[in-house]
Amino acid sequence: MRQSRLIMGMPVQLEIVDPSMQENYEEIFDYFISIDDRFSTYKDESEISKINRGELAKEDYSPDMLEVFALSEETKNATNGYFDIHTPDGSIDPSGLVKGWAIQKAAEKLHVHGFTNFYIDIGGDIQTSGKDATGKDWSIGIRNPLNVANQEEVVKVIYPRGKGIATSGSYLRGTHIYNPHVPEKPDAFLSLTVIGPNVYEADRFATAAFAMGQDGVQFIAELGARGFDGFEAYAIDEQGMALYTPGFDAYTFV
Amino acid sequence: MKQFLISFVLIVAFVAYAFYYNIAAQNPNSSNSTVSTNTTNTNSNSGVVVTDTTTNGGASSNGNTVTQSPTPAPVKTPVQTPTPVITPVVVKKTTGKYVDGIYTGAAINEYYGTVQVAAVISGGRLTKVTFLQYPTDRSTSKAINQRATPQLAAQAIQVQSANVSGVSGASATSDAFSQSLASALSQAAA
Repeated sequence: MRQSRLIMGMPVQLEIVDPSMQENYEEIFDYFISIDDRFSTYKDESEISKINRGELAKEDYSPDMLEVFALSEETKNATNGYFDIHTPDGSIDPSGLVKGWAIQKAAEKLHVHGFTNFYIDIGGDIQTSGKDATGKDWSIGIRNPLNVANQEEVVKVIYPRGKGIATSGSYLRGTHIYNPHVPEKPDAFLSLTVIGPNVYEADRFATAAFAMGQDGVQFIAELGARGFDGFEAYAIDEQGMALYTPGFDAYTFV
Repeated sequence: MKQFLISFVLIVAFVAYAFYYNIAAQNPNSSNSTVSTNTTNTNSNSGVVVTDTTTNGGASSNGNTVTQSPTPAPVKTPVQTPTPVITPVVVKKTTGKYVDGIYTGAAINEYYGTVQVAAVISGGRLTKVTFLQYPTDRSTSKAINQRATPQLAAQAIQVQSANVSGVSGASATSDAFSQSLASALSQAAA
């Protein structure tokens, strides 16, 4: 049974297909709440806000924070600096990676409990495992970014088969991704969806690829040559045209 | 008799020479015509002068006896250009009361081209928005496609009616789209 909560200011959806108890759901929701409490730049008392105010010494950073910082640095190097948690105003905002990272952690918790068929979705970043409640492959739609009125209208259906999916774009909440090299450069796409080995990988590379503008899809296409295998991208521009990687089509049918 | 033999040998030699020349001309991979038959010219620059000591490998870098045409100019592979498809976007939100009709919005110049839409008002509501103009040249996408290794693909998006487990995506109003639509709707205002 699918359950939803509003965490991190966005809908969090969890569905465990295998026989489960309510406490299994609560554990995952509680985990996301704890991540939000730690990493939200909107919360004054979060660890990241304290760090940004200079109120926390480095030796007092939590293991989670140190891990996210290390992963952010690694991602920055892997994306020619396009992924950067250091914002133009000098603060640190790891939200371009934390969501996918947290979903991936939650998926690992479910696997430890022995669950193999589930669905985790935070604001459109999705990790699926196994099959859905009808025994079919999970199917994920790419939202039509041109239709502002209908958030459920999809223009592409993906069967991720255990891979992770994340979409970056100019969200209704306002552009939260900027090009660190040319901050004022306009976005080339309305949305850029990445299929990756897991949702963490998809999320961090979707964030970086979107910041790259026109070159983002090509960057994803060439990730294999950089030693990152299993990535595909589908980007939609303002004219309703999609630019996508050659291997993407393999995920569009059962 | 001696003269006859000499003449005969000369004639045969000439015929053989002419015959050989003919074959050489037909087969650009044969060795140079001016050398003896034991010359084995394995250089890919066929038909060039015997003393081919050039190391640059250029097919047309040698003298005027080249019988093989230079490497053909690289054939331009057709760039995949997106078919200009008019993408109907149905905006279900009612933004006010309008007079029925079709209204053309202003042409808005974006950094990559011009965007212009038409708004269809029926029953006092905005029922359809159609692109009249959008950049068909799309040089940016072309540039990406041209240097792409692997080649990217492009398509016009199409609304699917599939029943899916979940939805991934961003939603935003494009400035150019919004401006042209606002211009069309201002004309439709009752």
